[in-house]
Amino acid sequence: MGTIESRRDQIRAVLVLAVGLWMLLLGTPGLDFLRSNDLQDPDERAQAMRDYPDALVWAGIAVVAFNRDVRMPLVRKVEASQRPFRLAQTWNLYRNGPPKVRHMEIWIDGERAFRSQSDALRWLGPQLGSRRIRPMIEASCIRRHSKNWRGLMRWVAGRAVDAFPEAQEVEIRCKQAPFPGDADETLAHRIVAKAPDWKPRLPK
Amino acid sequence: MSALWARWVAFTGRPLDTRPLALVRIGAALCVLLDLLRVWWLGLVPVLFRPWDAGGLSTFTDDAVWIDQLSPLWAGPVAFWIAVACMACVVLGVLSRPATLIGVLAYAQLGHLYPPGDRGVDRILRCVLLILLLSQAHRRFSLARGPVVPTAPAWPSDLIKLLLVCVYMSAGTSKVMATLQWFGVGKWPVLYRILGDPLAARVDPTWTHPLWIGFTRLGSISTVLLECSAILILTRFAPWWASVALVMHVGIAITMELGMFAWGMIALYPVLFWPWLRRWLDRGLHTP
Repeated sequence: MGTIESRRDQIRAVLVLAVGLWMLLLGTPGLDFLRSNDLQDPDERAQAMRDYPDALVWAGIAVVAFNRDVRMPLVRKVEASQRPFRLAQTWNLYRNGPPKVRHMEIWIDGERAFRSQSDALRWLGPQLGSRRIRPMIEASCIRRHSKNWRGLMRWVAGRAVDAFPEAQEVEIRCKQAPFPGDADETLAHRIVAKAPDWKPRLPK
Repeated sequence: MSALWARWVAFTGRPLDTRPLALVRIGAALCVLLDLLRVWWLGLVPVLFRPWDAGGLSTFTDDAVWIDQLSPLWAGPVAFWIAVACMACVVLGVLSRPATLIGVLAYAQLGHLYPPGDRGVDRILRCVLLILLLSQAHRRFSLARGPVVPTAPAWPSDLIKLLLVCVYMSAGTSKVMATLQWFGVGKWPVLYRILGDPLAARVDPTWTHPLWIGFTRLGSISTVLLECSAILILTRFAPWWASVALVMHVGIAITMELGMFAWGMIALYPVLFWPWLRRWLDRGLHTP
Protein backbone atom coordinates (compact mmCIF):
# COMPACT_ATOMS: atom_id res chain seq x y z
CA MET A 1 0.00 0.00 0.00
CA GLY A 2 1.53 3.34 -1.05
CA THR A 3 0.89 6.70 0.52
CA ILE A 4 -1.69 7.74 -2.06
CA GLU A 5 -3.79 4.67 -1.43
CA SER A 6 -4.05 5.13 2.29
CA ARG A 7 -7.48 6.15 3.51
CA ARG A 8 -6.05 8.79 5.80
CA ASP A 9 -4.34 10.55 2.93
CA GLN A 10 -7.53 10.46 0.91
CA ILE A 11 -9.60 11.94 3.75
CA ARG A 12 -6.99 14.63 4.31
CA ALA A 13 -7.01 15.53 0.62
CA VAL A 14 -10.81 15.79 0.61
CA LEU A 15 -10.87 17.95 3.74
CA VAL A 16 -8.11 20.27 2.54
CA LEU A 17 -9.92 20.67 -0.77
CA ALA A 18 -13.19 21.46 1.05
CA VAL A 19 -11.54 24.02 3.32
CA GLY A 20 -9.69 25.55 0.39
CA LEU A 21 -12.88 25.89 -1.62
CA TRP A 22 -14.66 27.34 1.43
CA MET A 23 -11.91 29.95 1.75
CA LEU A 24 -12.00 30.74 -1.96
CA LEU A 25 -15.78 31.10 -1.91
CA LEU A 26 -15.88 33.30 1.15
CA GLY A 27 -12.55 35.06 1.11
CA THR A 28 -11.50 35.90 -2.42
CA PRO A 29 -11.94 39.55 -3.43
CA GLY A 30 -15.25 40.94 -4.53
CA LEU A 31 -17.62 40.57 -1.60
CA ASP A 32 -16.26 43.32 0.63
CA PHE A 33 -18.45 46.41 0.25
CA LEU A 34 -20.55 44.69 -2.47
CA ARG A 35 -24.01 46.28 -2.77
CA SER A 36 -26.95 44.66 -4.51
CA ASN A 37 -27.23 47.55 -6.98
CA ASP A 38 -23.52 48.03 -7.79
CA LEU A 39 -23.01 48.98 -11.47
CA GLN A 40 -26.70 48.34 -12.23
CA ASP A 41 -27.69 51.96 -12.65
CA PRO A 42 -27.02 53.41 -16.16
CA ASP A 43 -25.76 56.67 -14.66
CA GLU A 44 -23.28 54.82 -12.47
CA ARG A 45 -22.10 52.80 -15.48
CA ALA A 46 -21.71 55.97 -17.57
CA GLN A 47 -19.68 57.57 -14.78
CA ALA A 48 -17.50 54.46 -14.57
CA MET A 49 -16.96 54.59 -18.36
CA ARG A 50 -15.74 58.15 -18.00
CA ASP A 51 -13.30 57.20 -15.23
CA TYR A 52 -12.01 53.85 -16.53
CA PRO A 53 -11.37 52.17 -19.92
CA ASP A 54 -14.52 50.56 -21.38
CA ALA A 55 -13.10 47.04 -21.36
CA LEU A 56 -12.29 47.36 -17.66
CA VAL A 57 -15.80 48.57 -16.87
CA TRP A 58 -17.43 45.68 -18.75
CA ALA A 59 -15.13 43.24 -16.96
CA GLY A 60 -16.12 44.90 -13.68
CA ILE A 61 -19.82 44.57 -14.51
CA ALA A 62 -19.36 40.87 -15.26
CA VAL A 63 -17.43 40.26 -12.03
CA VAL A 64 -19.97 42.17 -9.93
CA ALA A 65 -22.82 40.22 -11.56
CA PHE A 66 -21.04 36.92 -10.87
CA ASN A 67 -20.39 37.84 -7.25
CA ARG A 68 -23.92 39.09 -6.71
CA ASP A 69 -25.90 36.41 -8.57
CA VAL A 70 -23.76 33.29 -8.22
CA ARG A 71 -21.38 33.68 -5.32
CA MET A 72 -23.52 35.57 -2.83
CA PRO A 73 -26.34 32.97 -2.75
CA LEU A 74 -23.75 30.24 -2.09
CA VAL A 75 -22.10 32.36 0.58
CA ARG A 76 -25.43 32.81 2.33
CA LYS A 77 -25.87 29.04 2.37
CA VAL A 78 -22.54 28.33 4.08
CA GLU A 79 -22.49 31.47 6.20
CA ALA A 80 -23.67 29.63 9.30
CA SER A 81 -20.45 27.60 9.32
CA GLN A 82 -18.47 30.74 10.18
CA ARG A 83 -20.49 31.77 13.18
CA PRO A 84 -19.32 29.54 16.07
CA PHE A 85 -15.73 30.66 15.54
CA ARG A 86 -16.61 34.07 14.07
CA LEU A 87 -14.56 33.53 10.93
CA ALA A 88 -16.34 35.82 8.45
CA GLN A 89 -13.96 36.20 5.52
CA THR A 90 -14.84 39.78 4.65
CA TRP A 91 -11.97 41.93 5.78
CA ASN A 92 -13.15 45.48 5.14
CA LEU A 93 -9.59 46.71 5.44
CA TYR A 94 -8.63 50.31 4.79
CA ARG A 95 -10.04 51.61 1.51
CA ASN A 96 -9.58 55.29 0.77
CA GLY A 97 -8.75 57.16 3.95
CA PRO A 98 -10.74 59.94 5.60
CA PRO A 99 -11.88 62.87 3.42
CA LYS A 100 -11.42 65.31 6.32
CA VAL A 101 -9.24 65.74 9.37
CA ARG A 102 -11.44 64.68 12.27
CA HIS A 103 -10.63 65.24 15.91
CA MET A 104 -12.40 64.11 19.02
CA GLU A 105 -12.30 66.17 22.20
CA ILE A 106 -13.62 65.52 25.69
CA TRP A 107 -14.65 68.51 27.78
CA ILE A 108 -15.43 68.24 31.48
CA ASP A 109 -17.24 71.21 32.99
CA GLY A 110 -16.00 73.47 30.20
CA GLU A 111 -12.38 72.35 30.39
CA ARG A 112 -10.81 70.34 27.65
CA ALA A 113 -9.38 67.08 29.01
CA PHE A 114 -8.67 65.11 25.85
CA ARG A 115 -7.96 65.83 22.20
CA SER A 116 -6.92 63.22 19.67
CA GLN A 117 -3.20 63.34 18.78
CA SER A 118 -2.52 65.86 21.56
CA ASP A 119 0.42 65.15 23.86
CA ALA A 120 -0.86 67.58 26.49
CA LEU A 121 -4.55 66.60 26.61
CA ARG A 122 -4.37 62.88 27.30
CA TRP A 123 -7.02 62.09 29.90
CA LEU A 124 -8.21 58.52 29.06
CA GLY A 125 -5.68 58.61 26.20
CA PRO A 126 -4.42 55.01 26.48
CA GLN A 127 -7.97 53.64 26.70
CA LEU A 128 -9.29 55.77 23.83
CA GLY A 129 -6.29 54.75 21.73
CA SER A 130 -7.02 51.05 22.29
CA ARG A 131 -7.86 49.26 19.07
CA ARG A 132 -11.01 47.93 20.74
CA ILE A 133 -12.46 51.38 21.43
CA ARG A 134 -10.99 53.33 18.53
CA PRO A 135 -13.53 52.02 15.95
CA MET A 136 -16.32 53.26 18.18
CA ILE A 137 -14.74 56.70 18.41
CA GLU A 138 -14.28 56.81 14.67
CA ALA A 139 -17.89 55.82 14.02
CA SER A 140 -19.21 58.30 16.58
CA CYS A 141 -17.21 61.14 15.04
CA ILE A 142 -18.01 60.33 11.42
CA ARG A 143 -21.78 59.97 11.88
CA ARG A 144 -23.94 61.94 14.27
CA HIS A 145 -26.25 58.98 14.81
CA SER A 146 -23.72 56.16 14.93
CA LYS A 147 -24.66 52.82 16.43
CA ASN A 148 -22.74 53.31 19.64
CA TRP A 149 -22.66 57.00 20.56
CA ARG A 150 -24.70 56.25 23.68
CA GLY A 151 -22.30 53.52 24.79
CA LEU A 152 -19.26 55.72 24.26
CA MET A 153 -20.76 58.64 26.16
CA ARG A 154 -22.03 56.48 29.02
CA TRP A 155 -18.57 55.02 29.52
CA VAL A 156 -16.75 58.38 29.23
CA ALA A 157 -19.20 60.00 31.65
CA GLY A 158 -18.78 57.14 34.11
CA ARG A 159 -15.01 57.50 34.02
CA ALA A 160 -15.30 61.28 34.40
CA VAL A 161 -17.47 60.93 37.48
CA ASP A 162 -14.95 58.46 38.95
CA ALA A 163 -12.01 60.80 38.26
CA PHE A 164 -13.76 64.11 39.01
CA PRO A 165 -16.58 63.45 41.54
CA GLU A 166 -17.68 67.10 41.41
CA ALA A 167 -18.19 67.08 37.63
CA GLN A 168 -21.57 68.28 36.36
CA GLU A 169 -21.24 68.04 32.60
CA VAL A 170 -19.24 65.92 30.18
CA GLU A 171 -19.13 66.67 26.49
CA ILE A 172 -17.67 64.85 23.51
CA ARG A 173 -16.98 67.23 20.64
CA CYS A 174 -16.36 65.92 17.14
CA LYS A 175 -14.55 68.47 15.02
CA GLN A 176 -13.55 68.45 11.39
CA ALA A 177 -11.45 70.47 8.98
CA PRO A 178 -10.33 70.10 5.39
CA PHE A 179 -6.87 68.60 4.95
CA PRO A 180 -4.26 69.41 6.12
CA GLY A 181 -6.34 70.44 9.10
CA ASP A 182 -4.45 73.57 10.15
CA ALA A 183 -7.42 75.93 9.58
CA ASP A 184 -11.21 76.15 9.34
CA GLU A 185 -11.91 73.57 12.01
CA THR A 186 -15.63 73.37 12.74
CA LEU A 187 -17.75 71.52 15.24
CA ALA A 188 -19.48 68.61 13.46
CA HIS A 189 -21.59 67.48 16.41
CA ARG A 190 -21.57 67.03 20.17
CA ILE A 191 -22.59 64.33 22.60
CA VAL A 192 -23.47 65.58 26.07
CA ALA A 193 -24.19 64.01 29.45
CA LYS A 194 -25.15 66.05 32.53
CA ALA A 195 -25.58 65.35 36.22
CA PRO A 196 -27.59 64.00 37.88
CA ASP A 197 -28.89 61.39 35.42
CA TRP A 198 -25.84 61.41 33.07
CA LYS A 199 -28.05 60.32 30.22
CA PRO A 200 -26.23 60.68 26.84
CA ARG A 201 -27.83 63.25 24.54
CA LEU A 202 -27.19 64.53 21.04
CA PRO A 203 -27.93 68.29 21.12
CA LYS A 204 -28.89 69.96 17.85
CA MET B 1 -9.19 12.57 -13.17
CA SER B 2 -7.69 9.89 -10.99
CA ALA B 3 -4.20 11.00 -11.95
CA LEU B 4 -5.13 14.55 -11.07
CA TRP B 5 -6.60 13.41 -7.76
CA ALA B 6 -3.50 11.35 -7.00
CA ARG B 7 -1.39 14.44 -7.58
CA TRP B 8 -3.61 16.44 -5.24
CA VAL B 9 -3.37 13.75 -2.54
CA ALA B 10 0.40 13.69 -2.90
CA PHE B 11 0.54 17.50 -2.86
CA THR B 12 -1.44 17.87 0.37
CA GLY B 13 0.58 15.13 2.02
CA ARG B 14 4.06 16.22 0.93
CA PRO B 15 6.31 16.59 3.97
CA LEU B 16 7.25 19.99 5.34
CA ASP B 17 9.42 20.95 8.27
CA THR B 18 7.19 21.60 11.30
CA ARG B 19 9.25 24.57 12.51
CA PRO B 20 7.51 27.29 10.44
CA LEU B 21 4.12 26.08 11.67
CA ALA B 22 5.37 26.03 15.26
CA LEU B 23 6.67 29.57 14.86
CA VAL B 24 3.30 30.69 13.51
CA ARG B 25 1.56 28.93 16.41
CA ILE B 26 3.72 30.78 18.92
CA GLY B 27 3.55 34.14 17.15
CA ALA B 28 -0.20 34.15 16.49
CA ALA B 29 -1.14 32.99 19.99
CA LEU B 30 1.36 35.42 21.56
CA CYS B 31 -0.20 38.34 19.65
CA VAL B 32 -3.68 37.42 20.88
CA LEU B 33 -2.38 36.87 24.41
CA LEU B 34 -0.58 40.23 24.60
CA ASP B 35 -3.51 42.01 23.00
CA LEU B 36 -5.89 40.58 25.60
CA LEU B 37 -3.51 41.40 28.44
CA ARG B 38 -3.31 44.96 27.14
CA VAL B 39 -7.13 45.17 27.40
CA TRP B 40 -6.88 43.98 31.01
CA TRP B 41 -4.01 46.41 31.74
CA LEU B 42 -6.19 49.30 30.53
CA GLY B 43 -9.02 48.19 32.81
CA LEU B 44 -11.38 47.59 29.90
CA VAL B 45 -12.39 43.95 30.47
CA PRO B 46 -15.64 44.61 32.36
CA VAL B 47 -16.79 47.39 30.06
CA LEU B 48 -15.94 45.71 26.75
CA PHE B 49 -17.11 42.19 27.44
CA ARG B 50 -20.46 42.75 29.05
CA PRO B 51 -23.74 43.34 27.24
CA TRP B 52 -25.25 46.82 27.30
CA ASP B 53 -27.80 46.00 29.99
CA ALA B 54 -25.04 44.79 32.30
CA GLY B 55 -23.04 48.01 31.90
CA GLY B 56 -21.16 47.17 28.70
CA LEU B 57 -19.96 49.65 26.12
CA SER B 58 -21.64 48.33 23.00
CA THR B 59 -25.37 48.84 22.52
CA PHE B 60 -25.54 45.70 20.37
CA THR B 61 -24.14 42.17 20.26
CA ASP B 62 -24.08 39.54 17.52
CA ASP B 63 -26.94 37.08 17.56
CA ALA B 64 -24.39 34.23 17.69
CA VAL B 65 -23.43 35.19 21.23
CA TRP B 66 -24.66 32.68 23.82
CA ILE B 67 -22.25 33.14 26.66
CA ASP B 68 -24.12 36.15 28.09
CA GLN B 69 -27.08 33.86 28.79
CA LEU B 70 -25.01 32.15 31.48
CA SER B 71 -24.40 35.36 33.41
CA PRO B 72 -24.56 38.80 31.78
CA LEU B 73 -22.24 40.18 34.43
CA TRP B 74 -19.52 37.54 34.60
CA ALA B 75 -19.65 35.36 31.50
CA GLY B 76 -17.70 37.85 29.37
CA PRO B 77 -14.85 38.35 31.86
CA VAL B 78 -14.71 34.59 32.49
CA ALA B 79 -14.50 33.92 28.73
CA PHE B 80 -11.77 36.55 28.58
CA TRP B 81 -9.63 34.76 31.16
CA ILE B 82 -10.31 31.39 29.55
CA ALA B 83 -9.04 32.83 26.26
CA VAL B 84 -5.97 34.25 28.03
CA ALA B 85 -5.16 30.92 29.71
CA CYS B 86 -5.69 28.96 26.50
CA MET B 87 -3.51 31.28 24.43
CA ALA B 88 -0.74 30.97 27.03
CA CYS B 89 -1.00 27.18 26.70
CA VAL B 90 -0.84 27.41 22.90
CA VAL B 91 2.26 29.60 23.07
CA LEU B 92 3.95 27.11 25.37
CA GLY B 93 2.69 24.13 23.41
CA VAL B 94 1.05 22.63 26.50
CA LEU B 95 -2.30 20.91 25.90
CA SER B 96 -2.11 22.73 22.63
CA ARG B 97 -5.01 21.15 20.76
CA PRO B 98 -7.74 21.44 23.41
CA ALA B 99 -6.39 24.88 24.36
CA THR B 100 -6.63 26.04 20.75
CA LEU B 101 -10.19 24.81 20.35
CA ILE B 102 -11.46 26.21 23.65
CA GLY B 103 -9.42 29.40 23.32
CA VAL B 104 -10.68 30.19 19.83
CA LEU B 105 -14.27 29.49 20.90
CA ALA B 106 -13.92 31.81 23.90
CA TYR B 107 -12.19 34.45 21.78
CA ALA B 108 -15.00 34.25 19.22
CA GLN B 109 -17.57 34.74 21.96
CA LEU B 110 -15.73 37.88 23.05
CA GLY B 111 -16.05 39.08 19.46
CA HIS B 112 -19.75 38.25 19.35
CA LEU B 113 -20.21 40.05 22.64
CA TYR B 114 -18.40 43.20 21.51
CA PRO B 115 -18.49 43.30 17.68
CA PRO B 116 -17.00 46.80 17.19
CA GLY B 117 -13.69 45.66 18.67
CA ASP B 118 -13.41 42.38 16.78
CA ARG B 119 -11.60 43.29 13.58
CA GLY B 120 -10.21 41.59 10.50
CA VAL B 121 -6.99 40.61 12.26
CA ASP B 122 -8.94 38.77 14.97
CA ARG B 123 -10.74 36.72 12.34
CA ILE B 124 -7.50 36.04 10.48
CA LEU B 125 -5.77 34.80 13.62
CA ARG B 126 -8.72 32.62 14.61
CA CYS B 127 -8.68 31.05 11.13
CA VAL B 128 -4.96 30.36 11.40
CA LEU B 129 -5.22 28.89 14.90
CA LEU B 130 -7.98 26.55 13.71
CA ILE B 131 -5.85 25.47 10.76
CA LEU B 132 -2.98 24.78 13.17
CA LEU B 133 -5.31 22.84 15.47
CA LEU B 134 -5.24 19.92 13.04
CA SER B 135 -1.55 20.26 12.21
CA GLN B 136 1.60 19.09 13.97
CA ALA B 137 2.57 22.64 14.95
CA HIS B 138 2.50 21.68 18.64
CA ARG B 139 5.21 19.05 18.08
CA ARG B 140 8.03 21.59 17.82
CA PHE B 141 9.21 24.36 20.16
CA SER B 142 6.88 23.02 22.81
CA LEU B 143 7.09 22.35 26.55
CA ALA B 144 4.74 19.38 26.30
CA ARG B 145 6.03 15.86 26.64
CA GLY B 146 5.94 13.78 23.53
CA PRO B 147 8.05 13.06 20.52
CA VAL B 148 9.32 15.86 18.32
CA VAL B 149 7.85 15.51 14.84
CA PRO B 150 10.41 16.95 12.40
CA THR B 151 8.19 16.91 9.32
CA ALA B 152 4.45 16.77 8.69
CA PRO B 153 2.09 17.21 5.73
CA ALA B 154 2.39 20.67 4.21
CA TRP B 155 -1.31 21.46 3.85
CA PRO B 156 -1.53 23.81 6.90
CA SER B 157 1.17 25.99 5.40
CA ASP B 158 -0.64 25.99 2.04
CA LEU B 159 -3.95 27.01 3.64
CA ILE B 160 -2.31 29.84 5.60
CA LYS B 161 -0.74 31.09 2.36
CA LEU B 162 -4.10 30.90 0.60
CA LEU B 163 -5.68 32.87 3.44
CA LEU B 164 -3.00 35.55 3.14
CA VAL B 165 -3.55 35.77 -0.62
CA CYS B 166 -7.29 36.25 -0.06
CA VAL B 167 -6.76 38.90 2.62
CA TYR B 168 -4.20 40.99 0.77
CA MET B 169 -5.90 40.74 -2.61
CA SER B 170 -9.27 41.68 -1.09
CA ALA B 171 -7.64 44.70 0.50
CA GLY B 172 -5.92 45.64 -2.76
CA THR B 173 -8.90 45.24 -5.06
CA SER B 174 -11.27 47.07 -2.72
CA LYS B 175 -8.80 49.98 -2.68
CA VAL B 176 -8.58 50.05 -6.47
CA MET B 177 -12.37 49.85 -6.77
CA ALA B 178 -12.83 52.62 -4.22
CA THR B 179 -10.69 55.37 -5.68
CA LEU B 180 -8.04 56.01 -8.29
CA GLN B 181 -6.26 58.18 -5.76
CA TRP B 182 -4.31 55.12 -4.65
CA PHE B 183 -2.39 55.55 -7.89
CA GLY B 184 -1.04 58.85 -6.70
CA VAL B 185 -3.55 61.28 -8.20
CA GLY B 186 -5.12 64.04 -6.11
CA LYS B 187 -3.69 66.82 -4.00
CA TRP B 188 -3.48 64.81 -0.80
CA PRO B 189 -2.27 61.22 -1.32
CA VAL B 190 -4.44 58.53 0.27
CA LEU B 191 -1.61 57.25 2.44
CA TYR B 192 -0.93 60.78 3.71
CA ARG B 193 -4.61 61.08 4.73
CA ILE B 194 -4.64 57.66 6.40
CA LEU B 195 -1.37 58.20 8.29
CA GLY B 196 -2.53 61.70 9.27
CA ASP B 197 -5.95 60.65 10.52
CA PRO B 198 -6.00 61.84 14.15
CA LEU B 199 -8.54 59.16 15.07
CA ALA B 200 -6.36 56.28 13.93
CA ALA B 201 -2.79 57.40 13.36
CA ARG B 202 0.11 59.22 14.95
CA VAL B 203 1.41 61.52 12.19
CA ASP B 204 0.40 65.17 12.46
CA PRO B 205 -1.65 65.95 9.31
CA THR B 206 -0.45 69.55 9.33
CA TRP B 207 3.06 68.29 8.56
CA THR B 208 3.02 68.72 4.78
CA HIS B 209 6.68 68.72 3.90
CA PRO B 210 7.02 67.99 0.16
CA LEU B 211 9.21 64.98 0.93
CA TRP B 212 6.49 63.49 3.15
CA ILE B 213 3.79 64.14 0.55
CA GLY B 214 6.00 62.61 -2.15
CA PHE B 215 6.80 59.63 0.05
CA THR B 216 3.14 58.96 0.83
CA ARG B 217 2.24 59.34 -2.87
CA LEU B 218 4.81 56.68 -3.71
CA GLY B 219 3.66 54.66 -0.71
CA SER B 220 0.05 54.73 -1.91
CA ILE B 221 1.02 53.24 -5.26
CA SER B 222 3.35 50.71 -3.64
CA THR B 223 0.67 49.59 -1.18
CA VAL B 224 -1.85 48.83 -3.92
CA LEU B 225 0.74 47.10 -6.09
CA LEU B 226 1.93 45.02 -3.16
CA GLU B 227 -1.56 43.96 -2.13
CA CYS B 228 -2.71 43.21 -5.66
CA SER B 229 0.39 41.12 -6.30
CA ALA B 230 -0.22 38.91 -3.27
CA ILE B 231 -0.69 35.92 -5.57
CA LEU B 232 3.12 35.79 -5.51
CA ILE B 233 2.75 34.27 -2.05
CA LEU B 234 1.96 30.99 -3.79
CA THR B 235 5.19 31.08 -5.79
CA ARG B 236 8.91 30.83 -5.02
CA PHE B 237 8.97 34.63 -4.82
CA ALA B 238 7.06 34.52 -1.52
CA PRO B 239 10.05 35.55 0.66
CA TRP B 240 10.77 38.53 -1.58
CA TRP B 241 7.13 39.60 -1.54
CA ALA B 242 7.05 39.13 2.24
CA SER B 243 10.15 41.31 2.67
CA VAL B 244 8.34 44.27 1.12
CA ALA B 245 5.15 43.51 3.06
CA LEU B 246 7.18 43.33 6.26
CA VAL B 247 8.38 46.89 5.67
CA MET B 248 4.77 47.99 5.11
CA HIS B 249 3.58 46.35 8.33
CA VAL B 250 6.42 47.78 10.41
CA GLY B 251 5.51 51.19 8.96
CA ILE B 252 1.88 50.65 9.97
CA ALA B 253 2.93 49.62 13.48
CA ILE B 254 5.02 52.78 13.88
CA THR B 255 2.63 55.32 12.37
CA MET B 256 -0.82 53.99 13.24
CA GLU B 257 -2.72 52.95 16.34
CA LEU B 258 -4.08 49.66 15.09
CA GLY B 259 -2.98 47.56 18.05
CA MET B 260 -1.85 44.09 17.12
CA PHE B 261 -2.83 44.28 13.43
CA ALA B 262 0.68 44.63 12.05
CA TRP B 263 2.23 42.16 14.51
CA GLY B 264 -0.57 39.65 13.98
CA MET B 265 0.09 39.66 10.24
CA ILE B 266 3.85 39.46 10.69
CA ALA B 267 3.32 36.49 13.02
CA LEU B 268 2.12 34.49 10.00
CA TYR B 269 5.18 35.25 7.91
CA PRO B 270 7.37 32.30 8.97
CA VAL B 271 5.53 30.24 6.35
CA LEU B 272 6.45 32.83 3.73
CA PHE B 273 10.03 33.32 4.88
CA TRP B 274 10.63 29.61 5.43
CA PRO B 275 13.06 29.07 2.51
CA TRP B 276 15.30 31.75 4.06
CA LEU B 277 14.54 30.97 7.70
CA ARG B 278 15.43 27.32 7.22
CA ARG B 279 18.92 28.19 6.02
CA TRP B 280 19.39 30.58 8.91
CA LEU B 281 18.11 28.16 11.55
CA ASP B 282 20.07 25.21 10.15
CA ARG B 283 23.25 27.25 9.99
CA GLY B 284 22.69 28.18 13.64
CA LEU B 285 22.28 24.54 14.58
CA HIS B 286 25.46 23.49 12.83
CA THR B 287 27.63 26.27 14.24
CA PRO B 288 30.10 24.66 16.69
